[in-house]
Amino acid sequence: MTNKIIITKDTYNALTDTNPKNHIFNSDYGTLKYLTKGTATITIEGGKSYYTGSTSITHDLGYYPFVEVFCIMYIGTPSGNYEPCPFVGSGTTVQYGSSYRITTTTLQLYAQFYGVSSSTWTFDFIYFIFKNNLGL
Amino acid sequence: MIIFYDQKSGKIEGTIDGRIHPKEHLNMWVGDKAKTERLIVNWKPVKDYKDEKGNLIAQDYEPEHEQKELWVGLENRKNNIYDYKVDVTTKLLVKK
Repeated sequence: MTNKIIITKDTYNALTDTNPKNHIFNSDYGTLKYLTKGTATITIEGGKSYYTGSTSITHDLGYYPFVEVFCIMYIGTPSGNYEPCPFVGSGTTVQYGSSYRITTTTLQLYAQFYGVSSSTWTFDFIYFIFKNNLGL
Repeated sequence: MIIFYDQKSGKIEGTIDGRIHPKEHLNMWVGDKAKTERLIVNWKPVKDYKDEKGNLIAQDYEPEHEQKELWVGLENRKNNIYDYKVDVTTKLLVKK
């Protein structure tokens, strides 16, 4: 018999319940180890004929960490809700979106729109980096 | 919180959130390292709470920066960091 730690939800018995859906914590399964959270922003000036932008977050962990990225896009003042990244949206004459790429040293963020626009597009990101090594 | 900003314009490029930053955070960078600077604001304990035996049980913290109320607002998202830029001379946040 191996030792384990199980914390169940209300009404379930940790000594007898074997369904992980009923568990708040179960040491048989891996968990995410939080490293940090932060923000980054990309501004694309359509009036200068730009249509893409990027920025990077250097994490220097030396391996591919698990990350979560969310983005909100707006013209002018912030509005709308953050969306899980990558995301894509469209208007009447433009399509826009953001994406990201993870390496062993950086989290690279990308934003772009397709079509004709003279507006200034802002993409605000929230990122979460966890210590978990994806082992890629 | 650590703020990364353009060396010349003071435009804020990104942040690392948090009150106390370990070495792992200090190894990180947001944006082009050749063109950005960073402003690190840790939080420090300002008041201790002790039990009847004198054991420390809790502490109040506040940002170690002269604009502390502004930094508290940034943490609880009452203030939007991207409404501000960094005065590259004084290192203070100023409204854009």
